[in-house]
Amino acid sequence: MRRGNVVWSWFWMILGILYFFLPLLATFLFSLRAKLGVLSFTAYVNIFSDPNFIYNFSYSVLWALLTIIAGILILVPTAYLIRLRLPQFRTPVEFITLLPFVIPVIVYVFSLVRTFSQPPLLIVDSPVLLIAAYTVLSMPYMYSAVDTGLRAIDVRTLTEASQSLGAGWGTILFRVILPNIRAAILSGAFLSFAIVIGELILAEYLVKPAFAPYMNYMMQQKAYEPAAMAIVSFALTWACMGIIQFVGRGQQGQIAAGH
Amino acid sequence: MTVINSIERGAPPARPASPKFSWAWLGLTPFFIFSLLFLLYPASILGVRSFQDTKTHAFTIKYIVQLLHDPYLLGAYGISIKISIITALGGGLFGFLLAYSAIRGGLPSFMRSSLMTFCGVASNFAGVPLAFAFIALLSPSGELTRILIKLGFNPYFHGFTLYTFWGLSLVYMYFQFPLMVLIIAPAIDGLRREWLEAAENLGASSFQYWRYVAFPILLPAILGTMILLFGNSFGAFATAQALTGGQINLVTIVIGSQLRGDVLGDPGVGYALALGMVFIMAIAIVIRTILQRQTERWLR
Amino acid sequence: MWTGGYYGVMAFLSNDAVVKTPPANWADLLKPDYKGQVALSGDPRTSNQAIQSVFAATLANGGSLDNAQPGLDFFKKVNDAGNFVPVIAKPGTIAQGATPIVLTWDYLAFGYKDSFKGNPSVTISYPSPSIASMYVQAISAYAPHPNCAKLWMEVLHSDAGQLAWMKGYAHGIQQADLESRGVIPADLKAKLPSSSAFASAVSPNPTQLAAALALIKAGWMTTVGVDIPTPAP
Repeated sequence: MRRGNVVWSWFWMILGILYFFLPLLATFLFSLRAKLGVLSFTAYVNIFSDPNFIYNFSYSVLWALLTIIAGILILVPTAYLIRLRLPQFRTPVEFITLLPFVIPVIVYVFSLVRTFSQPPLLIVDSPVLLIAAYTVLSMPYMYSAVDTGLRAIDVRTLTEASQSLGAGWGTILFRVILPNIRAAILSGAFLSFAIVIGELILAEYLVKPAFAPYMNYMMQQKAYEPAAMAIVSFALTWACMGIIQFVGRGQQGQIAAGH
Repeated sequence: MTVINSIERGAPPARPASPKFSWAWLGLTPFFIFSLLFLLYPASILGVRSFQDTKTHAFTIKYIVQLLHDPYLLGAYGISIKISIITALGGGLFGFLLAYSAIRGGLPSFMRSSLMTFCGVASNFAGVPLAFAFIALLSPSGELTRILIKLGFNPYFHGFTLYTFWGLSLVYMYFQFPLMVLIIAPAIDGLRREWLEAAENLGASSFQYWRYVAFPILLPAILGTMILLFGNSFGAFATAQALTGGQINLVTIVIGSQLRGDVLGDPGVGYALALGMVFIMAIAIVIRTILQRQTERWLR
Repeated sequence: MWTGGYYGVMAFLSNDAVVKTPPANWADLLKPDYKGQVALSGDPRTSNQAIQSVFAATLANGGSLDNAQPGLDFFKKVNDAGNFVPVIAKPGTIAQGATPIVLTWDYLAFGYKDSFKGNPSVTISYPSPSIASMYVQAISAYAPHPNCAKLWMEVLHSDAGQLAWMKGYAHGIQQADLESRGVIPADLKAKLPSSSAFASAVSPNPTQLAAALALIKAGWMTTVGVDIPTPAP
């Protein structure tokens, strides 16, 4: 790499870091002002002593993990089959995966409630509906990520090789293909995780314990605690991402692009 | 073994049509059932109710007509589109620079993974907390403003204010940059180092490399992702509402005010507006798909 | 069927750390001292509280309970003077100083004051005239267990129920009655504002309220929804 380029890289990076961290810093400083005249962690003590905080955040993490799993289970086989065998389905499937992007969440939630509040589909109270809705919301990102990953590896050769070694479809999908698109799935998983933690309207209207409505509720009542909550949730979510990345690390595809 | 040896990359497999073809069909059914149940059917309600009188449930196009004739509603589309284009362009440009710097810019490798995980979080940091973060920083009593005032410079006396269209755009970038970084990263990964080396070997300057090699390859992906950014911004509303209250006329806020809120609006108008949004987004997505096909060729 | 349960009175809440002299009445909101400081608690296109803040202004500005337009015009004046800040006020923004003067229900104002615990210290004042607007409880005509619901209504309207609301600073609908019977505990009475403070508050009837809500909701964007003028030094 030419020397000049590295200077530019640092320039953009530092600019980016400033832009991203200054607002967070301002929020953090504000959260330290809970006690008059001194900087203290009172707001943080308050939120951690509130059992609802951990309760709601844990539920959101749970919903997020379940959503990621559901997304992988539904979308990886789909993207794989389309790439390998059914290219003619590519456009309609892509269109469907991009629909959630297009529909405002508030409209989507209303239609969900209408659809599922009557028998025989009376699941409006069930967490299954919540997970399904979250999965739908994260579909554009998850599918895009999985598709990009599959594009970069040689799906055909991998499949042929596995088949000739006697592997069944399950083995091919989960022990050959999946590990090779790890980085892409991680990218999709990050986005899904963040979407679920940050999504307010869905959890509000489907009345399930979740972090975003809880934070929203606190914001109507307290001054300093919500700022502390924003910082803590940011940090916790970042940590979860780090864990996902750590767990998902490993050699990027053996048969990667470039041969 | 002969099967493998005879397969060239990109060539269709030399095998007779097998019963596995029907297998493939079945493989897609989970997806289709899931989408039908949780996406297509509920979404169709949107379409139905745009043409249905709220009270009588009779078929009507009055909401669509109202949409096309009401300057306030059309203005809402205008402002939403404007802010979406601006934040898509700005977010796309800076996001790309950031991503490229971290991935190919010669920076320490931990910066890439930190940037990626951070962007994962930041891409969904929106709504009231985001608005508040910028308020805490840049409002007349914000941290940065106070420091600047101590240094003798009050930005508010020079016409700066956070609570306008441009202030909102600045805040929107907070989730636009990260989205761009996350989605363009695989495309930058696909930019093979051999190409850069080959270009250098042939004596290309940095500018020539970009102009003739990198940009033509990356441009479809960049433009395609900018369209995703457009959609992301088009659908946002919580941040705008928190920061600018009732001042800025965005389609999403108008839809929200018709569908929910303490005072009853006309849901039919809300659904019609949403249908309009779907229409605009559909156009954007078609453009993006065309661009995607172009990128394909290079990433193989 | 429905009955009123509790009501609130529209009040001014101001952050003493930012606002040296709190506004006392509607006309004060136009003073240049309050540049970029006056905020609502919600979006007037969706929030009942925000719309009623605008409605409350109409009485002092030539309007009446039947005509809310002067309230809208008043806020246009506030905006044109550069005093209006469009941020939706929350306890956080009040404490931070971005929205130092807020129009909000008094019970909410007192609640915020408690949660602030002096950090920052705030002043609550009742403009005159103000609006008292009630919240109702209703029993659906299709309710599967209407008598159960009616029993709950009894509880709400008993002394215990009304006092519970008053602990939250809301004005129980029977507050005057409770006062006259001397049923309110002394410590609770000390925390509540005396009735004379908001004696000028008037209460719109449901028809007037509905008309005002519709007018303000529809008229806000066209009357007040303009770019924020930059405050002069």
